[in-house]
Amino acid sequence: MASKSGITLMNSTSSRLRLARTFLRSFSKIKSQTSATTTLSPSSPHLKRQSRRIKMAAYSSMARVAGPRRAWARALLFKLHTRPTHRTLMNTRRGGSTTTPPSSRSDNQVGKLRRLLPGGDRMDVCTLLEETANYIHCLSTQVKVMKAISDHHF
Amino acid sequence: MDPPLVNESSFSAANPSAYSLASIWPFGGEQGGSALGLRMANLVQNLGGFPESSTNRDGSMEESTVTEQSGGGRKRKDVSSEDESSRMVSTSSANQLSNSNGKRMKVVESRDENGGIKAEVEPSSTDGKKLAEQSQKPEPPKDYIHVRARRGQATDSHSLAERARREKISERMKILQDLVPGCNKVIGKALVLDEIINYIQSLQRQVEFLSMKLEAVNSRMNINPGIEGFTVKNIVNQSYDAAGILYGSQARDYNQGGQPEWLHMQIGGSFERTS
Repeated sequence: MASKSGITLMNSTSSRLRLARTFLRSFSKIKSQTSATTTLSPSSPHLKRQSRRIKMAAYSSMARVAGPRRAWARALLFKLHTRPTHRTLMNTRRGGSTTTPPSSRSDNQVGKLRRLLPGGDRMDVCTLLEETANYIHCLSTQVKVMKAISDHHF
Repeated sequence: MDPPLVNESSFSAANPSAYSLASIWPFGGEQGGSALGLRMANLVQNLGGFPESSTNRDGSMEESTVTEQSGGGRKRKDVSSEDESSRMVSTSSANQLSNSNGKRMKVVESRDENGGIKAEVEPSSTDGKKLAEQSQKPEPPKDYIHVRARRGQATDSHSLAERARREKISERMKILQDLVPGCNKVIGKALVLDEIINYIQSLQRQVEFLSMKLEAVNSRMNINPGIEGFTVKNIVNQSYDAAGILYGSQARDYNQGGQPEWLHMQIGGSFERTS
């Protein structure tokens, strides 16, 4: 059945391999850039920004591995690419939205899931659930890869 | 007379509604006797034998074969003019009667001229109408195969579509339940969704946390000992069990245990989520 084969997740080892390769590439790029620019005393805001860069690299590599056919991957890449221009605007808006939870608390869980999944506000429920399954799979793979890298270094 | 009739049967093989023939036929077989079942097997072999010679013919051709065929043809034509699928049924049965061996059909026909064949054709046509609904359902989009109205369920298209949608949703929920650890025992859609949301949030938090950790790794190893020595195979083959003790066992609250200083950093640092 077509829907089932769409849902069936990719071969986990191969996706993990691709994800690890992509993430390591961008991570080493970040590393070379920072080691080229930074001095030995990293100031706190710089540190914060760098970890955000790593996080963005992680998400973007995840989305790239998931491929353009996934709606969440498209939305995530779009968001990551358009972020630097609207950073301050989005920061303020997001801060405002997080300070008013009580009304959204009573909302249904599907709305929560929509907000959680990138690009989920434009999906119907079926697509949302399918994309969520794929997103969870990719996210857990990403977490495993990052954990393995950090364990290797520590 | 036989060779064109074989072609007729091959035509009915090309038509999609002929798939219902095998399911239709036992009804006719009950009426016509056990010999019809044998003939059905013949017909099926014929259907298998001529898959390529299928040409898309009109209904007029079929009707002409029906009328030329037997004495009971007038009645059959009345039946066959009702709708297309029942016409399929009647023509295919008629073809098959004459196809396998005409003698036996004549035996039946001569046994009782007016009653026998009509009694044989009519139930199959009513069954054909009933089955035509079922055979039309599988042909359109494949998602609607399993949607069938049980007794007491609404059968209009909106209800059917809604039921199909609900089944799809529940199926995906099941897949998600398999994906999220510790979610199989949870009963109720809202609770399952809660678990899924919590799991996604925890995973996103882990990504944040691990990015900070990697960042610290990055800044600590300024001498650049190297990701270069770190192969991808290493990641893949490495067992995650030791790391999974930290996170994997507790699906919900990853923040609670006594963690190293990274967690304090994570809580303290106001990092926006990338979701």
